[in-house]
Amino acid sequence: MILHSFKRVCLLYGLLFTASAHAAPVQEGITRHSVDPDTGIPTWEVDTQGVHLRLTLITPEQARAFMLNRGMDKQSVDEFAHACVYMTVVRNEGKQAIEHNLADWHYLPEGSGRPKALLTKHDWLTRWQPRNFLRPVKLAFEWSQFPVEQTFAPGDWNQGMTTFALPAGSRFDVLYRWKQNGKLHEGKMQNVQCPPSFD
Amino acid sequence: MFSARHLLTSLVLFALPGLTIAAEPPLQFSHTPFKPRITTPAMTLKDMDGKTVELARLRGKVVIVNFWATWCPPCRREFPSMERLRQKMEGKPVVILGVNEGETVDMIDQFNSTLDLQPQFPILLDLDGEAMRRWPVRGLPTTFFVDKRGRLAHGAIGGREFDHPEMLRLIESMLAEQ
Repeated sequence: MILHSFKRVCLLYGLLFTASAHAAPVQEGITRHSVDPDTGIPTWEVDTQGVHLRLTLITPEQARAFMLNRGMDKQSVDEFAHACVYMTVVRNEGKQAIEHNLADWHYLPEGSGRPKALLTKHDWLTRWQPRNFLRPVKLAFEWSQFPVEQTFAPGDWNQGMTTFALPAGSRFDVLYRWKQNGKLHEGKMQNVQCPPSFD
Repeated sequence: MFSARHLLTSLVLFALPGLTIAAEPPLQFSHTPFKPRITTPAMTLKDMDGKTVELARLRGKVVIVNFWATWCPPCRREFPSMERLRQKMEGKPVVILGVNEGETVDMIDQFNSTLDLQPQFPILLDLDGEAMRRWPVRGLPTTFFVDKRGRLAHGAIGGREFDHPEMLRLIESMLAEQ
């Protein structure tokens, strides 16, 4: 039984991270969406002015598994898994450094004209402060999340989780922004979807 | 069943790096110079055998300081290339330090056991993350190339192929510096 589950999850994970290999060719500013035919795990990618953004859904089960096994308590784990969580990659493929600040990013829920701010690791840790996490738990959580601020030289890239406070099944656009030579630039990833359920 | 299922999922998520490689972007070999070069923050940490390693004592050598964790996918991908780099630089005054963030020796050993090439360079334990906070690190992995005078010379954010010819050229050029 356990071995069967293990094989099933191996397959799921392997396919999860190969989903983007089947993505369409790059078109500036156009969101590419791919869904693994076997697992249904979606990935979205977009390239704008040399900045590549990729979001791959982390299922609630995967989010719970990671946090539980870093020693986080079940209540906090459940709260985290009730957000829409994505493995997020930003890559600077341009020729100049870019300054990233997650506070500049927003998302637009479908049917809403009002942009909302992402939940950053600081938001989560402020919420959980009274729970006094052990240092290794806090450290693992903090550094597994996408950095709030970072300068990416050409060729630099990073990877971490981003979270969006939306109901299961929601659709939304991500407005991701960066500064180059002090000027703010914006890209848009369209029609990202939350998991159908948080169970 | 809940625990077993989640344990399995976690093991697969973070302990089978081979499965993650197919679709990941290729590892880079770029590096960014520090202008001007600045003296490194102090760093004294214990390695996995409990031996104290003090960065300041490594003056006269080129030191590669890599901040990493076993749960960080790009860290896992780039890790074997650091051991290959160590082998290529054997006999030269080059030291690689893998600074692990917040994990126990057992967790690191478990990860190392999955590697074809066991790391022979020191892995230092930054159990409370304090060393990392003193360095200009904003995400994992981040790597610094420290020159023979103990200054931050180059940095690289994100996964790298450390034994790429471009990386070897960088290190050779740093070795040639006075």
